[in-house]
Amino acid sequence: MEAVMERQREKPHVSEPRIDARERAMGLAKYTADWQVKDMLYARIFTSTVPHGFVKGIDSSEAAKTPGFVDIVSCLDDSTVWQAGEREHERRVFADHVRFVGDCIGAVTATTRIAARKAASLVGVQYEELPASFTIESTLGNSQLKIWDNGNFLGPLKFEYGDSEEEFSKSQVVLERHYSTSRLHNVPLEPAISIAWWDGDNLTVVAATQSVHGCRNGIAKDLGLEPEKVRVIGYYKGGGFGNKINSMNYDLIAAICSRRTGKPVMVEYSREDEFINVHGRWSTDQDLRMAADRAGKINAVEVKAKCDIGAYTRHIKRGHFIEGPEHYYSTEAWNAEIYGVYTNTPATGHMRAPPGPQSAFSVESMVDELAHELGIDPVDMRLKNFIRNPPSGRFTSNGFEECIIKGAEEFGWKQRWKRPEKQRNKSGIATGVGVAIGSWHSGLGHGEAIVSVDSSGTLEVNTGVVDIGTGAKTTMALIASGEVGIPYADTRVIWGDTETSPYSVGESGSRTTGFTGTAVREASRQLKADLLLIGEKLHGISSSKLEIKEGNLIRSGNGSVLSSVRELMQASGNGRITKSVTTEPTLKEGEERFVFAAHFAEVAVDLETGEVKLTDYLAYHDSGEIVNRLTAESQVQGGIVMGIGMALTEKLLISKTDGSIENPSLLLYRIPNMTQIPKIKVFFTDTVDPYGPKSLGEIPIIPVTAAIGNAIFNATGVRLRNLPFSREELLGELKDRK
Amino acid sequence: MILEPFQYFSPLSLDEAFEILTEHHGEAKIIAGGQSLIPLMKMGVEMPCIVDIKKIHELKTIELSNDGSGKVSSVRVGALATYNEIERSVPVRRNIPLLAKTASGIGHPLVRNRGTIGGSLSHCDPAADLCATALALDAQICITGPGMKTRVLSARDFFKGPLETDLHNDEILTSVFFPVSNMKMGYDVQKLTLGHGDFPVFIVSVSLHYDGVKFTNAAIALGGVGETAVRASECESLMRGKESITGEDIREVSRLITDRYDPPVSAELSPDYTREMLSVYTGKALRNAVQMVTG
Repeated sequence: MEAVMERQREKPHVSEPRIDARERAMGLAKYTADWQVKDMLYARIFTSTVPHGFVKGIDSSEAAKTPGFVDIVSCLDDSTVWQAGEREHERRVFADHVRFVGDCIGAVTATTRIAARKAASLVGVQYEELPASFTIESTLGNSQLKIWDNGNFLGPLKFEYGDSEEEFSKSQVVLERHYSTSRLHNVPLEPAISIAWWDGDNLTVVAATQSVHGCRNGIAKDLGLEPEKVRVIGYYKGGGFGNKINSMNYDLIAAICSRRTGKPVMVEYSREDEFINVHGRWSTDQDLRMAADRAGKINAVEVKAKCDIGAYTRHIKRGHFIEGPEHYYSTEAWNAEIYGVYTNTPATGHMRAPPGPQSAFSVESMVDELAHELGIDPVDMRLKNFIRNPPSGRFTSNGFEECIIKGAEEFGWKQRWKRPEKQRNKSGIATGVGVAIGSWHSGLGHGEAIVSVDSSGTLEVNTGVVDIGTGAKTTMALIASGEVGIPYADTRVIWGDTETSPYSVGESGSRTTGFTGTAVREASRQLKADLLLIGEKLHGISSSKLEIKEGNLIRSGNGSVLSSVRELMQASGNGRITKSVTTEPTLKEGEERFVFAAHFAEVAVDLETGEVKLTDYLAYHDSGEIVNRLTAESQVQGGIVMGIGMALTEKLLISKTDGSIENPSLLLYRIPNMTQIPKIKVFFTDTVDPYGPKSLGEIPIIPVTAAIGNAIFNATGVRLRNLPFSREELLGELKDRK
Repeated sequence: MILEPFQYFSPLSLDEAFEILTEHHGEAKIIAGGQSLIPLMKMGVEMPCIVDIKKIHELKTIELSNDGSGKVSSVRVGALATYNEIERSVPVRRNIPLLAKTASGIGHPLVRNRGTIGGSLSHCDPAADLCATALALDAQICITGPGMKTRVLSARDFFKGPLETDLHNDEILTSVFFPVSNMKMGYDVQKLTLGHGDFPVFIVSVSLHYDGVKFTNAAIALGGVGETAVRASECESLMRGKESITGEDIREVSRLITDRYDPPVSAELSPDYTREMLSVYTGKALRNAVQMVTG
């Protein structure tokens, strides 16, 4: 291991701007909304105005009078099921049984965006209303309620190991606390959009999707087509964070409206539609118990959680609405019981590490509470308990300890942390620091890639990635460039089209680098081997004594340049050498692969108003080998900014009277802005994982809320247990203590 | 998306503008930076006729204006001066620093690059930053009508109610005069918002003048607590003429303000918290202003 570490450190850190930075910055990148398709029509959805009921009739007479009106489709004449739209039940694209205010009933197609919008607003719908519920309590307490015929909740998911009864009874310290987190929205910069057109039985969809292949497969399944009949194109994205995952209902709506009208159709959501009709993060109510001994060893954790999952929940594994912290600490026992509870409110589903930050918030706040109770430094508390290996098995690599120790060093924890009661300021501004840790999955799986070099010596990487903002295209180019030895500047990428690119898992679950990247690496190795053999023939030197660096064939040892790759290619007589590779890496028996992080925050609290300002933030991550520092740091910073929103500003306000979203706009749903974000310092460990780079996209959001909450406690002595933290609650608590 | 079609005019001179206003009597709405009007149109408020005065360059000037003796008596800020231009203007920063400070705190840079003083005052939102500060600074509003007939009235007389001013629909607010004082100045502006850069829930704008011995003037303007921005005259008189303003005086004034004024109810903050904050923010503004004068 030591030798490997040394070699790793010798390798210079790569830090390149995105391969498409120029076209993005210059406005040349063509997003879905920029597509101008000949004869294109515009579809606009119309939605339920009641929280729960059956659609009994639709009056389109007024809508049809709108100049530009072309067609109307609704639940009365189309019963397509959107299978990816709900995990456990059947969800129709156009609902006849509407389950929330905003549930999609149908769509109007017209010649202009404005005509479509006007016509859709004139559609009249008659309902038979049903009892509805807008909270977890009312769903569980109402036997008349039938959001779904076979029950209004999912679970319990039980997850346990060890003898938790025993551990709780013998432990010296037991804490019990309640924590809650709010409903959130992903808020990608680019709202949902899709364009579809038919050529006979062949469907083309230009989709704002996180996965062109996932999108294609979903559409094909739902419309009863062979996947080969569906082409999905997705070149540039304005983010998704989980809510553009695979096929979305708006893709199906575009396809259905196009089939009916015979013209290309664009479905474009407004920001308001995006908030209401595309899923966000579920809320949680969590009761935690934690048992420890006086020395600070955590013996057992018990989590009982109920989550408001809205009227529909996307493909979240049954019951896994709380997940993650069982992989932070080595406890003797863990006992979780989790329910997902349906309500007549908009859908929930994937959002960056779907259950991660909710789960980390409660556990990481509670570990901090425990540390305080025991008089232990919160960093020491983590060092005493962090997980070294899973309960049964071992991690492929584990840089957790390094994240905590080095993170604390870089942050200056020892100098900055003081017991809350020692905080000097009793009025004015109080400052404090907090720490939280986290871990997340780092999967391995099916990858495909085509890597080639042409006669000019240009390297070409062809994968089915879409690059939702993760920098996936850049990552793939850097992996290939680094492996083959051809400069990044001479590397081009083909991506984002099911017709031209091989399968990729899509940008979700932090999988692209691990899955598709592995295939790119393997294809690149094979390509390099071929080039070396050509070199062997050309120069009469054994390929084992040759290397390719900076686009040149060189002799190992003395480094003399023998010829350029371009000359090699011309000598070989090949116009292009192509390697098409499929990889299927699997973990060995007992192995688990995880990423780890430790986060440190400093806050300043105005003791007169309760306002919290985040003044410093540092993140230390183990994601194995980092392919590109620049985009990796951006990923971490982006995740932390989303976490800051979750901690301090963001909350979907759900109406108590009809379950609708009261703040479906960026004016009222507050994502953090630059003045609320301190400089975020990002560090990575030099961990080497035998399977290559580990995951990164999701973990940065996980520890943030607790790190901030713990800093607020450190500054004020007030423990806030509900997200987002409220200045009003903080001020109230401060006054109560006086 | 603005769904309803509207007529759009872009006059190059005041004369041309008045012609259009007269022609579309009662129907036309003047637009400058569009930071209030365009959101309203997107929300579905119909504006059948828009007169965009942005190209009338004479309305952009910020300049010092003298009294008869050649002494600087006021700063004249053209209606089209943006918040950003006001914030950066040397005459404003030097002579009316409270105005510069207020402008620098409005919304976000994007809003400050477009929003104009004339637009803000004539839109007359009760909680608008500039309405409160114009009132605190005893601003004089200059209004021009057809035939270049000009009238001047105080901010206090100009604001009539929520989104309602003394402006007739064939008139244009052309400039605002801010009187200059040679006294030592203490000032501050504090506001409660639901999120950073949001429109104020309420705003407190404070201006103090100190002649070396006593406070010759004390102005406290509040926005968001009534139909228009208001001056808390009864509190001002407690401070005016005093040789020093103590912490106890400030607490007294803050208490009085919370007793007399009702901050608005918002969905996200309780009335109790908002009321308490009115006192806290008033206290902060006064403390900072007094500190500037007395060091």
